[in-house]
Formats: sequence, structure tokens, C-alpha cells
Amino acid sequence: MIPTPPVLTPDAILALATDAGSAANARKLATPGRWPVLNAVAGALWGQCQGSGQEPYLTGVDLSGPVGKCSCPSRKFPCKHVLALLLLRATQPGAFGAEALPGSLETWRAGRAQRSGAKAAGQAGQREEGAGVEAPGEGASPLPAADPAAQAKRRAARERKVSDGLEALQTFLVDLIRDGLAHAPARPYSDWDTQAARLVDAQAPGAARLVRQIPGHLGDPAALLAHLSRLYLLTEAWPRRDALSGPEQADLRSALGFPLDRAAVLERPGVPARWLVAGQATVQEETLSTRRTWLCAEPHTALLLDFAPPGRPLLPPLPTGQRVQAEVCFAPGAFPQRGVLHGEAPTPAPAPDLPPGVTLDILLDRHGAALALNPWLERSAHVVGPVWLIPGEPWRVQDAGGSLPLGGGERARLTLLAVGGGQPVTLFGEWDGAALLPLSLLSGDVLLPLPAVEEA
Amino acid sequence: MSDLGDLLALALVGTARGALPSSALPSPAQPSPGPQALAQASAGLTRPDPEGTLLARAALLTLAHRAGRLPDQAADLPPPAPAETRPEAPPSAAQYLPLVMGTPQLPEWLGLCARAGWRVPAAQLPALLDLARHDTGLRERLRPVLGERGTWLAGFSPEWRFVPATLDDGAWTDATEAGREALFRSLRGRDPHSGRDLLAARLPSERASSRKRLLGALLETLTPDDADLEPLLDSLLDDRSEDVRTLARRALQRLPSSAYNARMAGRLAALVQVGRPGVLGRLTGQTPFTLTLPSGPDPDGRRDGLDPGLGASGLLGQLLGATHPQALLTALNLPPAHAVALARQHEAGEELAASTIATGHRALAAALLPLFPNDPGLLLLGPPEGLRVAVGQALRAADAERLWPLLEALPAPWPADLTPPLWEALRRSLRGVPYLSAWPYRWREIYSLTMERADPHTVLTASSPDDLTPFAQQLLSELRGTFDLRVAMQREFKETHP
Repeated sequence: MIPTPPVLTPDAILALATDAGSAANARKLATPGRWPVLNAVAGALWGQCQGSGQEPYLTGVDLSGPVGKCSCPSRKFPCKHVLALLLLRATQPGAFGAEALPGSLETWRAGRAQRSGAKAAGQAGQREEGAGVEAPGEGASPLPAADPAAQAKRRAARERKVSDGLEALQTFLVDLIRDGLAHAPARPYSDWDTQAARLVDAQAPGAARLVRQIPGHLGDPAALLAHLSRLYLLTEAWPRRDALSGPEQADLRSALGFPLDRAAVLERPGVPARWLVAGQATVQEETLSTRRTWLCAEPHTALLLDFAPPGRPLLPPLPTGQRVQAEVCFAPGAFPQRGVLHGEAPTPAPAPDLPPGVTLDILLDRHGAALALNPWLERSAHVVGPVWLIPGEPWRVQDAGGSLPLGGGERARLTLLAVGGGQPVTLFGEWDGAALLPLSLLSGDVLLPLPAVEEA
Repeated sequence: MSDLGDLLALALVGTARGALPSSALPSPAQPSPGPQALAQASAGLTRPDPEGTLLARAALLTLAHRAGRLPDQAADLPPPAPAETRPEAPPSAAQYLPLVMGTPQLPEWLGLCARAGWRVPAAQLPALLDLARHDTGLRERLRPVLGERGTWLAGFSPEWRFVPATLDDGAWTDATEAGREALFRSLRGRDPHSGRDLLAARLPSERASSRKRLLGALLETLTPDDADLEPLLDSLLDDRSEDVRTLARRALQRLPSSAYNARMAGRLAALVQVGRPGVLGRLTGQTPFTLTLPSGPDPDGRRDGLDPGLGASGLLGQLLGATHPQALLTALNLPPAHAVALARQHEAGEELAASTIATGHRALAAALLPLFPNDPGLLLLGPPEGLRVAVGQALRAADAERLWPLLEALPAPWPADLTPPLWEALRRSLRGVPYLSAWPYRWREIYSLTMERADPHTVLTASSPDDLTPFAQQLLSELRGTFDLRVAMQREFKETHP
């Protein structure tokens, strides 16, 4: 028997939209009048929507996900038709009939079920077919039939490239310090660009990213020195990597931007649990959009990363507040954080029992402990609260132990303030060493996704 | 040279210009916790080159500082939001709010919420306040459902100054001009009398632009009950700002027994001589009116807004347009029909109609309607059937130019039996239209009005795809979809708040 997945709130559904335009269009379509055919069967919705073409679009939603399939030409995932179907189910369940899925959608759904079964049986798989895009390099895993000797040769060649790249980077850093950081802002922008491009060529995109961030710190010498010293630590650690433990080496490789070997990660023992989707952040960087999805199941917090090159959609997101029955396989690391989802299926009860909130003191303690294990850790995520909100420059969160700066967009912060009304709140957010980025908010027993930074 | 500050100082000038002193502290064999240990560990880090030593020490110290960070000092908490006086909209009704956010259906949702006595859910307040920033109509709709929380929240963002704070001693002084207008509007909405007192107390010391804003807001709600404001308004006839003087005259005109209206009526009585109808006049029921320009100067004329250089009929037009109709009828001792005839003889019908609409004079409106059968303002004042009949005629004639102003004036919700003919008219107007810009602008406006205000409960006939372009079909199905949404929304409010 397929359990009926939870009905998402309109807010949570609209939060799945890839952009404001999709959300607005989905709203327009979310009325039974636009759907001459509208049906709900166990675990799925389907309907026909009259678009601008002659043929109506055939749209199906597999509620385990939720993941949709639509005959419209949109390249957005989910498209407005899929969102509209979900909205309709949330607001007007009475408008749905009970006709069975048409053949094409039935095949699609059966295929999904089969693949998720296969995943559960231990095979590597992506969250959804076709649409999935991996981080550059991550998809380029060695061919299964590759000869081990050739593989080792390739690995050695890459490591040599990285070594050369990092050696050049170390010279660059040393030059900067010899000349004095006071002169760094006067350097032409191409200096940083060239150095970053060299590191990309050297197949160390993680280090390249850190170099591209240097210009952002030029106005603050203390932050600049901290940033450069972090890069220097990478250049020192790499030649001595053999002295590091296995997990520490994995952290170093990940910081340098080595791709994650998903297949290998999925072979590791997973943590089966009902994971709560606690929060999400999507950032557009120069060459990549990255979505961070945080899952919580006490005592674990897992970070799922999705990547897409510019102009390509990300995978359909997991809705914040939903629970997912799945195994998470953690990538190796001294402080295991990044995970890969294994055999997911949404579970009926939407009640999000978020782990209890911690004080700001404990948040800093935990972050410090994690840094002691992985000095390159960029952020850690925590349930924080109860904390008071203090508007200002910067905004702050505060509890009995003191206060910390609150980041995020103005809209997100004002939403926190609106719901709190001057009383303390419990929120889920990322601490990056400088500010707390709020991702979701516990309001009553509902986990509210907060507006993404870039839209604010 | 183990402190981060010292390292930074050297890093700024560069190791080429400064020296990294050899470490003063020997590295202990067994590190012990504490700042001293960190300093020792840092001092013990050396590399062959001074740059490397500096960077390695900075890396250690930065990490140690980051990992050992403590919360910052506590700051002052803002005052909490006051307790709510009305309940939050229940989830069944509130679930429609994200669906209508930013759409033309939002005002309807807010209206339904206000009528049910609810307030909006707190999490939606930021989005709503942002939308209301540039939409005064939405502000008025939002105000009653903001709740204490919304008013409190608005105090934290400079973008939301338009939401009035609680009116206390400091509120007026601290408010911007927009904020003062909001304070006045909100008080006036709750308690017209106190609003009047506030205006009388504050207006004289306001700047010209603020006086203009406040008078504009007053005009929207002015009734004959506000006669107490006459001394204030009369004093504004000497205001330095032309805009303020004009607004004050318009306000005084709408107080029937104001001295201003008496002065205007006196001028009319002096200007117009009602003649005795001759044989032809008796047969046609027409009275001749003659006009005689007053010979002496009018000391208050300029103050009352009259143009001194005008001829007799020009002056008549000005007087008819700027005098309360009741004062006019009394002064000339004429029934409404004769007043209309007077205006007509001297081509001042439009002025009289404008003043009739501004003051809402029903008897004169009824007398003017034969002259302006399609004027929406007059139709609204006339017998209730008039506007409906005019709409029906315009619909049958498929005359969008005539239909649009009538629909614009027709108060929502529109009668249910208007929806089918409107739907048909829109369908006909869309026949053969391949894209938006090929569709007349007025029909597009009528379409939008229909979407927002027409009664959505009528079952609309499905359009047969044969005679309609895909564009037309899409527009019609969007209209139907919006009707569905509004029906569902209204039902939800009715069920949870019968």
C-alpha cells in the first residue's frame, strides 16, 4: 500500500518554484477551470491543462518527491503546471476526480518506482532521471570497465597537476605578503582572475573559488589575512597529505574541489532515518548555481549539494518541512557533513519535530569543535533558539549568553521578526563564522521556509 | 610576534620592509591550554621564509580565534508587539493568501478578511507591506487587517512608514509627511470626530506639501457633518499655496451652509435674472434667463477662486461649478430642472454636473441625466436602475468606449446577471484576435475589471475552440480560472465565518 504523502502548504509549494515568474504563472493556473481533466490517484496527481498550443499539456505529479512530468516545453523543474497541480491539491482537493493515470504517465511512474527500488538495493543513482546535473567533474567518474592501472595513472596525473597548481599558488601568496597587503588593492583585477584560472586548469576548483573571493576582502585587511592564511594552509597541507588520516585527507580533497565519488559514498554504510528537510539555500556563483539542502535526524545533520551550470535548472528541491524516509550516506571526512541520499520516499506524517534548539554559546562550541576536525569547514547548520531578534546594523540574534550577527536578506529577517513579534523564536540556520544565515523558522508546529537571500 | 595584530601590521607593510623577529617564547614540549599556550604554539611555528612563517602563524591564530569565538555582548531588545485584539485568519482562509499575493485578487482577499474581523497571518506581513509600498489603494485595504503585529512590525522598516504608529505625543512629531497623512487617515477612519480635531490642531503648523496631503485625505471623507472645520478651511483661502487654496475651496463647497457657498450663491443671484416666459416659452416650458455682470468690484472674488476677467457666461460657469447645488437652488429659488435649463442655455452643463457629482446631490443628478445619459457619476447618483440600464445598452452596442467608464463606476460586487452578457461581449471582442496588441485597449481594461469585480458564481459556457484563436482561448480560460479561485475563496470565508 502506498502511503499518502503529506499535503504541502501553498507557501511550501511556491517555495519549490525556480523563480518568481514560475510562481506567478503557477498561481494563475491553480484553478480547476484551467484543467479540463484533473485527477488524483494513490500517491499521484495528473491532469490536462490548456496551454497556448493546440494540444493540451499532460501533467503528472508523483507525490513521493514530489516530482513531476509535463509535456510542456518548459525547461524549468518543476514547471508551472506541476506547481499548479500541487497548489490545486492543497487548496481544492474536491476538484479532483479519480481516473487512473494514462499510459505514458503510468510508465514514467513505474520507471521511477523501479529505479528507487534499484537504489534501495544498493546501486548508485541520482535523485531524478535526466534533469540531474552534477558538479563539474563529479559526473566524470571513471568508466566502470576502466582498467585499474590506467585509473591509477590518471589519478597520479591529476595529483601532479594539483601539486603544481598549489605550488604556484604558494609563491603567489608569499609574493603578496612580501609586497605588503596594503598594496594588494592596487593590483589589477586580472591578477586574481589569472591565478584563479590557473587553479581551475590545475583541477583544484575549490582553491580557485577561494582565490576568486579575495577581491571581496580587499577592504578589510584582517579578513584578507585570514583568508590568505586559509589558502596557505591548503598549500602546506597538500604536499604532506600522506601524514593525514583518511578522513582528514578527504576533507582536504573536498576543500580543494576534488569531485565526490558518489558511487563510493553510496557503498558506505548509510544512516537510515526519517530525515526532516530543515532548510535550503541556493547561491548563484559565477559558473555554477549551488543548492544546499540540510536534513536533520537527531543526532545527525546532513548537507545535500545540488549543482547546475548557468542556464540549466537544478533538480526539483525537497520541500522544507517535509520528512523523507531515507538512508543518508555520509561522504568521508573528519567532521562528516556532506551526504548523499539513498532510496528516498516521503512519509505521511508532516509534523516536523525539529531537534531542540541550542544556545548561541553551544552553536559556537559545536562549530569550533567541527573546525578543530576540519579546518576548511565553511559552515555548519544548527537549530538555534529560543533567540530574540534585534533589528539594526547588523541585525542580531541574542540569548542569555550574548548575541551574534544575523545575516540573510531583509525580507527573511523581517519575516522572523513578524512571526516572533518581539518574543524569542527558534530557527534553523547556517553559521559561517561571521553571521547566522536563517533558512527556516519554527512557527507553532510548522517549519516555514524563509525567502532566499537573492530574492530579498 | 605571535599576536594576530602584530602579524597583520607586518603583513600590511610587507615582509620586504619589516622583519619578523625571532620568537621570544620557546615552544614547550607539552602545550597547555590558554592564551599563553596559543602564543607559544604560534611562536613555535617557523618556516624557512618569513612570509611562510607569517602565513602559517596567521592560519593557526585565525583558526584558533574562529573556533574559540564567544557570543558578542548583548544589545537592547526592541519592545515586544502589543497583544492582538482580533484573531488571525484561520488556515483554511489563509491558504488562499499566497495564491493571490501580488495579483488583482489580493484586495478582495483583504476585504473578506476585514469583513470577517480577522487579521493576516504574521508570516505574510512583510510581503503585504512591501506590496502596499507603492499602492495606496492596497494600503487602505491592508490597514484594518494588519493587527497590532503589523503596526508594530512596520516601525522596524523605513520602507513601511506609511503604516501609522499608535498616535501618541511623539508620533506626529516623529512622522514623515507620508506618516502624518497615514496617522490622520487611520484616526479619521476609526473616529471621524477625533480626526477633525487632529486636523484643526495640526494643520496650521504643517508645511505646504503636508497641508496639501492632509487636505487631499480630508476631501475623500468630507461630509456635511464636518461643518466644524469651516473656520479652519476658510482661513486656508488665504494660504500661500495655490494648491492648498484650491483644495480648501473644494472642501468648503461641499459644506452646504458654509459662508463660502453663501457668497457664491449671492453672486449667482446677482448675476442671473429669471425672465417671464413668452408665448413660445410657455408652449415649450422654457424660461428665459438673462445674465447681468455686476458693476462693482467683488472684494472676495479672487479669494473665492473667481477669475476677474471673465464675461457673464464664463462667470456663470465658474459659479455653477464651484457652488454647492443646494445653495444654488435656494439662492435662485429654482427647481432642479430649471437650474439645468439655465446651465444649458449658457453652455455650463458640464460645470453643473461636476459640482453635482462632487457633492452627491441626487435631485439635481436626476435632472441632469437626460442631458448626460451616459455619465457614470450622475448615473451612480440617479435611480439605481439607471446605471444598470446604461451598462446594458453599452453592452448590446458592444461599445467599449462607453462601457468602460460605466463599469468603472459600478460598485462591486456587480449584479450576478451582468456576468453572462459581459462574458459574451468579451468573447465577441476576442474573435479573430491573434495577440494582445491586436485587442483594443478598452476591451483589455474591461477584461481586467471583469476579472476583479464581476460576480464569479455564474457558470460560463465553455468556448468552442473553432471560432477563437489560441490567444483568445487562453485569455478566456484565465478569466474562468480567476472566477473559480474567487468562488472557492469566498466560499472558504463564508464557511469559516458565516
